[in-house]
Amino acid sequence: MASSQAAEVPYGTLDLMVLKTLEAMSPLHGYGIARRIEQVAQGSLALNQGTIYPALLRLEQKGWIESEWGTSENNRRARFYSITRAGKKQLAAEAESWARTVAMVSRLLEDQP
Amino acid sequence: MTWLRVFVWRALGLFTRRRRDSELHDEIQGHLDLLAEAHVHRGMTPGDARGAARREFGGVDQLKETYRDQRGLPLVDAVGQDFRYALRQLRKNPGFTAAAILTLALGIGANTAIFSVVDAVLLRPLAYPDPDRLVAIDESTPTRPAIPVNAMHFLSWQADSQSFDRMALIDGIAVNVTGSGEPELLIGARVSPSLFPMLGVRMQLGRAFRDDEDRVGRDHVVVLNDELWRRRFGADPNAIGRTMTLDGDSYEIIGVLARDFRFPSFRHLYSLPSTAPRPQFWKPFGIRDAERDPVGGFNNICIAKLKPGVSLSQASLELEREQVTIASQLPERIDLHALVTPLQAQIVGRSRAGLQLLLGAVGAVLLIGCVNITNLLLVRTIGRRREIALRRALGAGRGRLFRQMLVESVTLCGIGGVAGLGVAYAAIRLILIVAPADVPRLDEVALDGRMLFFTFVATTAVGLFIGLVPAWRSAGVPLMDAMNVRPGGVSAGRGAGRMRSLLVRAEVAVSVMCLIAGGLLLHSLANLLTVDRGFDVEHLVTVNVNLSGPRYRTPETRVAFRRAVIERVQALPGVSSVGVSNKLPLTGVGQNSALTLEGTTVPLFDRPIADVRPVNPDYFHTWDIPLKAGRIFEPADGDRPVALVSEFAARRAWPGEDPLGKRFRFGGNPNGPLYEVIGVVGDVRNINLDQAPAVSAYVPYWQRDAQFASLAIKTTADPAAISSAVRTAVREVDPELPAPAIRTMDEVVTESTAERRFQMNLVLLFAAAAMLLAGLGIYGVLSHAVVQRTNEIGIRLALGAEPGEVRRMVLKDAVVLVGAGLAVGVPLALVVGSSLRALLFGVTPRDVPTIAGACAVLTAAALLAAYVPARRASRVDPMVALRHE
Repeated sequence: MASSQAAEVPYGTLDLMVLKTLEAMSPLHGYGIARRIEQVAQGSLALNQGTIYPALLRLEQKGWIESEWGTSENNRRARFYSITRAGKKQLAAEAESWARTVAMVSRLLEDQP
Repeated sequence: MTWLRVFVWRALGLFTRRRRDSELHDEIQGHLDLLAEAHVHRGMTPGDARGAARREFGGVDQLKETYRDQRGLPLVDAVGQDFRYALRQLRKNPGFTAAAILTLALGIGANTAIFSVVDAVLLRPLAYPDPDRLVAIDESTPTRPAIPVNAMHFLSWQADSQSFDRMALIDGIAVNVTGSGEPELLIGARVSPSLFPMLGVRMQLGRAFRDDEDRVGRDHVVVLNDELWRRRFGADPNAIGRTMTLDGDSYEIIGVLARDFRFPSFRHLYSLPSTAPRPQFWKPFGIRDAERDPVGGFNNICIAKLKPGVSLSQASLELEREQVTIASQLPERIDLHALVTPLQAQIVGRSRAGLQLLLGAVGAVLLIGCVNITNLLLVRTIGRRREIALRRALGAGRGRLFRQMLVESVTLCGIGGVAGLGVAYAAIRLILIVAPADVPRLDEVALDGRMLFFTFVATTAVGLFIGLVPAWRSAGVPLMDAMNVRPGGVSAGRGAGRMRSLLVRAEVAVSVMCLIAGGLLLHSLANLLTVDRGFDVEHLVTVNVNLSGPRYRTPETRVAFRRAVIERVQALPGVSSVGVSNKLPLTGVGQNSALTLEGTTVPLFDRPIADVRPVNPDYFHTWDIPLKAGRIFEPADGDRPVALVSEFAARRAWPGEDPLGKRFRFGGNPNGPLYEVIGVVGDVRNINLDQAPAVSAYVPYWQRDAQFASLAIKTTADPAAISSAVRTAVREVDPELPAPAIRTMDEVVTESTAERRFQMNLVLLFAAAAMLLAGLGIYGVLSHAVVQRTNEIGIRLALGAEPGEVRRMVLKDAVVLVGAGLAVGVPLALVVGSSLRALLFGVTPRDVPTIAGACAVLTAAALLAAYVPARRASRVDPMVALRHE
């Protein structure tokens, strides 16, 4: 949950997190995705859960995820999202570039005397 | 391609807005419920849980807004909103809206109509394959820029030149068709068989000519146009193979042209003035023995197709070399040249200047109309300053306001444009009805996709044009000023006022240019109609009879016909005299022949070319052509070759000498009869009204043959009554002749000036519209100024100013506006005027009376427009005015 030490979501990483979540466990509705991200972050992330909806729309417009109406665990109508094949490819590409960026930044920080 | 996907998604989002909104709402609600449930599980009260869920979720409305922006195309959404708002605004001001839409519809409609004419006539390539490779060829000499082509010269070009794919010779013919159906005069063409493939002619029935049919003896085959085939053969497919009797000879019908194939009119192909229309049928050219004369018979049209990659100048150079070779082999020394013109230029060249003027004039009307609407919009902007200020205070950016104003003007124009299409459709129909036959390619005018595109572009451009200034001004309203405005207060928009009077000055400038152009055309037509023609047209009825066919194989038979008809018509009641010749005046060139003076050493082509008219002695009396010296020939002269010449001919042929008793031959034949000049008559504009009198020679009709007998009948009787009597007389002499065309000479004159009239009427119409709109503009600006100055005027009146003074003050404003406009418009008209030169007759583009007249008319119109506001100003009640806040 949001705590005082929790960091803002770094710009542009929300899409990546959503994609990764859906790769691990689709289909999933918006609440489920938000919960899952918060669990993985273990309280280190300040996420307004609502902000994932624009991200979901963005990803769907790009064709990386798709959605379908279904019934949630409390028997309500809910929209379930799942990752597409294009989405998986995109995730792989972004994960790699993310890893490279992180590695590069870490090296930069470590090398500083 | 991801961006494309996204765009399509977003574009679709525009149309499913409502469903998506409710889906999003459900989705968020579901999310909140799940979140709240989770909290309840952990022991919260349901109320606290809902609150916590909302906090964790973040701002719902903000989210929805972001989501919406991302879902659709926000710009399109906003413009749609502006558009609906614009429609509301327009509905709220029905007066303004109606005036603006009417102005736009008429302006855009008239422009579309005129542009479609210009497009069809000038811009669109000819409707033949490879139109840019088609050329017309004429011969020329240093003294005569364009002479129709000699058949022998054509043959040697065809044999030797390398620049052309194909070449074709065309000659116009008039024949009488007899046999089944009424006898009828038909206009046809003798053409080289290569012509049809060159023009990409499609046949709807039968075939075109074979090359071996291009020989006298084998050339008795004809191709008909669709109209003739329908009229005379009832569109019978079995007409192919049947025969048709033309001038008494039978011709086999071998083909019918496709219905939509358009063959140009002779008058547009021919390099000399002519009134001949389109041919109705075609036969092979079949060069006759009499035409195998390299120095006579310059009668034919020549059309050729350049080989791919050969330029006009290469072809010209080659033909020039050919001409040198041909000239070197002639018995006479001739400086012979050739003129190669793109076919399109040959056909439409003479109409170009007039159409460009029309386009300019109609464009000016649209421009002035736009300026008026801009002015009205500016006034409205001032009225809406508070609204605009409020919008800005509520957070609308300048860009947003600018866009909203533009959307309003573009919407206005869109409606005007659609209505304009209707106007254009009607105007095109009208133009096709009233336009003279002289305008080439006019039958190709149609409201098609190109015109829709033109209207669309014009509409958008006009929308931006009229909206830009008001939009820019309203977006630029400083917030504080605007909020402080009192309605109708003095401080409202001084800048806008300046802008508006500037626009009105521009209107005045543009309309005075139109008026000057219209005035010059009017002046030209008046000059043309009052020019000294050299003959009289009062009480003259004319008859044109084509004497061809089996009964007229020899000149003697034609002479006999003339003699008999003259006798009979002369005897009709009410007829005072009858003149006969080969061609009516003002209907183009007739018989042309070089005057070879006795003992001359002048080369053939440098000898004066005479318009030769075989006439009867009464001809001069009938047309009121005065005898200046000597005597008129009479029947007693018999076969003695005698001639009368015009004064100009006498001066040109025998300068400084007495022409009486001088002798000459026609053409280059040294064995031809030697005519003696026995009299000199006045000069006559025989060819065209706008062409100075030519060298004219008159010979007795019994001495020189002519295919047509043109009668002029001087009569005080009713033209209709005399017509039927004349028809009867002609039928009595020869019952097989087609019923001749009978017109009064007034009609002939009117017809010869038809294109000028058409142009002038349209230009004057546009100039009047421009002036009316400019007057409305002046009225608008002054009325508004008077309202704004009510306060000041009230003070003046309260301090003792006379109402007359106040009136003069307003009128003075009008004079200043007009003066400033004229100061720009008149010099511009002088600059642009020189391009009108080709359209003018007897008046220069800098004609002072015309320009002064245009200025006076416009000033009068402006003062008229200013009078109403001036009167209103002088009637301001000081007490009311001072309270006017």
